[in-house]
Amino acid sequence: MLQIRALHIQDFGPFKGCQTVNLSPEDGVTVIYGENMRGKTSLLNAVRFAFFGKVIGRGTKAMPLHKIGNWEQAAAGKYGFQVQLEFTDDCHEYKLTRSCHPREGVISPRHDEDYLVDYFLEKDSNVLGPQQAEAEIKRILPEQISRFFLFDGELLQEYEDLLSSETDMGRRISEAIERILGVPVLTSARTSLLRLKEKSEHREATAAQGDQKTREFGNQLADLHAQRHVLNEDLERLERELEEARSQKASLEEAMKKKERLAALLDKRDTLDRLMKEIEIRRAAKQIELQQAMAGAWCSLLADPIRNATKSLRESELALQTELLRADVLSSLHVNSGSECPACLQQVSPDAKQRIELSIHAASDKDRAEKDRELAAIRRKLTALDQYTGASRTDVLRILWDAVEEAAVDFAAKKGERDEIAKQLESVDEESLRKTKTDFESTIRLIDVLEKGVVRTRDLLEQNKSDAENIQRRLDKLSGANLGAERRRRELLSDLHRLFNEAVGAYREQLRKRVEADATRHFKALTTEPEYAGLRINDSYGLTIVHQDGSDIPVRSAGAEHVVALCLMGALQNNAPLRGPIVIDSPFGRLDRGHTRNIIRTLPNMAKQVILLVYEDELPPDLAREELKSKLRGEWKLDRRSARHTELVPRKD
Amino acid sequence: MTSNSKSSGDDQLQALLETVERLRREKYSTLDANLVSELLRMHTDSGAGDGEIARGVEQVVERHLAERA
Amino acid sequence: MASDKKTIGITKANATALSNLVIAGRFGSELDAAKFAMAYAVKKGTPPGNIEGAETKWNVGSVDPDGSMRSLLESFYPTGEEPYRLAEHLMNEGIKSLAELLGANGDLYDTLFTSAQTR
Repeated sequence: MLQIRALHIQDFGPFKGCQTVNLSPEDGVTVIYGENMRGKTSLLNAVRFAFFGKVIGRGTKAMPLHKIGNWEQAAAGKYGFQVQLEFTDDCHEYKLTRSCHPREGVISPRHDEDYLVDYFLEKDSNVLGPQQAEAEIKRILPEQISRFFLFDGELLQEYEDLLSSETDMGRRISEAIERILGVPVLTSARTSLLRLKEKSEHREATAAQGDQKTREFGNQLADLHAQRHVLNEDLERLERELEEARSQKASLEEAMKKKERLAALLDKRDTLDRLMKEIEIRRAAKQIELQQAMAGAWCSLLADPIRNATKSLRESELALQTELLRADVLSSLHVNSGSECPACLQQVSPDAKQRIELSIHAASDKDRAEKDRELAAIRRKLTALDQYTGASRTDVLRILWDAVEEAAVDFAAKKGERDEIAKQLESVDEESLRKTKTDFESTIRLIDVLEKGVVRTRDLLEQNKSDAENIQRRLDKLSGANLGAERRRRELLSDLHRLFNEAVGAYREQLRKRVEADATRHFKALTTEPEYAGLRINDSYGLTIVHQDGSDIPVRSAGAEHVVALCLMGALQNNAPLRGPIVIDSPFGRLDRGHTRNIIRTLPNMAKQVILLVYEDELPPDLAREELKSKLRGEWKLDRRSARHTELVPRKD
Repeated sequence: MTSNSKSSGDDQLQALLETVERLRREKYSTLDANLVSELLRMHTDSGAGDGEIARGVEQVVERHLAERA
Repeated sequence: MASDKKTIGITKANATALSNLVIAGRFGSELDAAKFAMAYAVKKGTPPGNIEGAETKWNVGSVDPDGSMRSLLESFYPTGEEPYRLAEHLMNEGIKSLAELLGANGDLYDTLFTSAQTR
């Protein structure tokens, strides 16, 4: 059984320099605490890297090697990283060292191609040759099933989704599960026996052809075998093409989904174009109106000066008018030299008369004309001022101005949006989009044809089989001793084949029941809901929670997914010949205290060595110590030195 | 990660043997138990190639037939 | 008045500023913008003066068809003798001032609407 003794990492992720985690050789749980982004997932990835040379980022995509090395080191010009795993398996001691470094001559690597990844494996202090090393690693931890041991809490949900759906991935995982549960032993035995049986049947037919008595049947059998051979090849070909067509359909579906989005974008773009045109027309019209209105804008600036000038001019006008009027009155007084003042009807004294005369002479005719002109000028100015007082309507101007600005802003916004969309549509080939739809439709038709072909071929094979069995029976009745041996061989192989064929189904059924039972056992220990009776398993190892009244609980929370996936994992560990450590990254993030407690308590029963990567809120140290007691074998923490430098230190509190 | 000390790998082999043996008893009692178990064991060897196994199976079957003849 | 200008012009230096003003103020023509500049100068209290080197742009007949603008200027500057020369001066001064205002991220909007009289 695989057991990890130590992990030495160098410049991997946030782990700058050489750092080590030592694990106890005793059964139990080691907890490594670290806040988010400190490097918990990097530790899990380090183990993955050691075994498979791969690192997984978010969303299960392989991460580029260039991004894995410690950034602080990279900033200092030091590139590359290394992981060394010390472990035992089957009483042997292993040291697996895998490193990634820049190729010779590359000073500043930027892409994966600039790096070289190599490894070597020591077994009991002897370095194994490359082929042996590869075989050992494949035997010790096959990659397809590594997901049952290297557990990323984030991927748990995805993992359950995969199992319950009819996807390519789901099938591969089911196969992986069956592989570790031993099913291939039976299926390959079945295949060997089938081949032998067919070979034997062929020999028998040939022998029958050699004897005159049985020749006819022999010939017919030989023909049927030949036909069977062709039909088998046809079936293989059809199934292969069907597989290809199905995955083609899946990728076309993806493309179609994208197409829908793009078609929507195209529509949006056209709509925006139209709206932009309308806005532009509106804006242009308002602009013209505004320009016309702005012709009078200068008057609004002059409102104050006009008012002031008007005031002072009116004063001047009044003064002049008064003066002129007075002059007229005096003049008429002088001309009408009667002694009465027309105003007050009093006698005008000779003194007064003299004064009047002086006054009049003071103002000559010339003066008078000038004053008239002055008054006229003033009046002309007042008229002009009046004209301009009412000339500008600032409220209208403001409205027009605002309208034009608003239209400009609206236009700019829509243009911005449209430009964004145009950028997205830049690399789109509209032709190919249309083609996708037609391709999809023809793929669907192809799948239909192929499926029908498969069914028909299988029917023909069935027919062929029953015809052959018929002939075989008649041949058996007829044949003599010379065919006896062949017949016995054929019958033996036929029985053996049938036995193993049935065994496959029986074993699968048994396995499912055992996995279901073990998973249910784990589930009951983990769940906090008393009304849950257990788990039910389906053909692809998907698990459904069952209520005590027998009904399925169809929908689950993310936390419930975690719990169920953990149960499956525990059940697989129980039933697989491959047992090893479970390394789990953040398993409790979505679970409440009750479930967390239960899981902590149950973990030591699921595997001999468990390594938990958690943060303190998720799993308070006290809780861990309380629940695990003596099964807690080690506590570590990820200490922050800087944003890109974490140190692994044993926890001392 | 294969079984340490003859435990889990053997457990699995045991389970396979039991399944096959039970079926044999129920429905194929004319088949020899040892033959069946030997054939099964041959296919648990993950190190052998397909050709090797096929030849091995044929030999075992022939030997059995010869013994019975 | 006989010596007053018959044409009104804009200095070379102001030519660009005038084009910018037309755009910033959404005017329909350079003449509209120039009148606005003139009014701005009056409002600011620009003293009368004379400019040299103006390149002819308009006839006074186009600028002031009914003579009312002249009367207006005479009201604001009663001591002036040549209103059209004054107009030319004020226009050019106004263009310069407005260019400074717009250059310092000023907006004609404020000039127009916050200092305008409410009716």
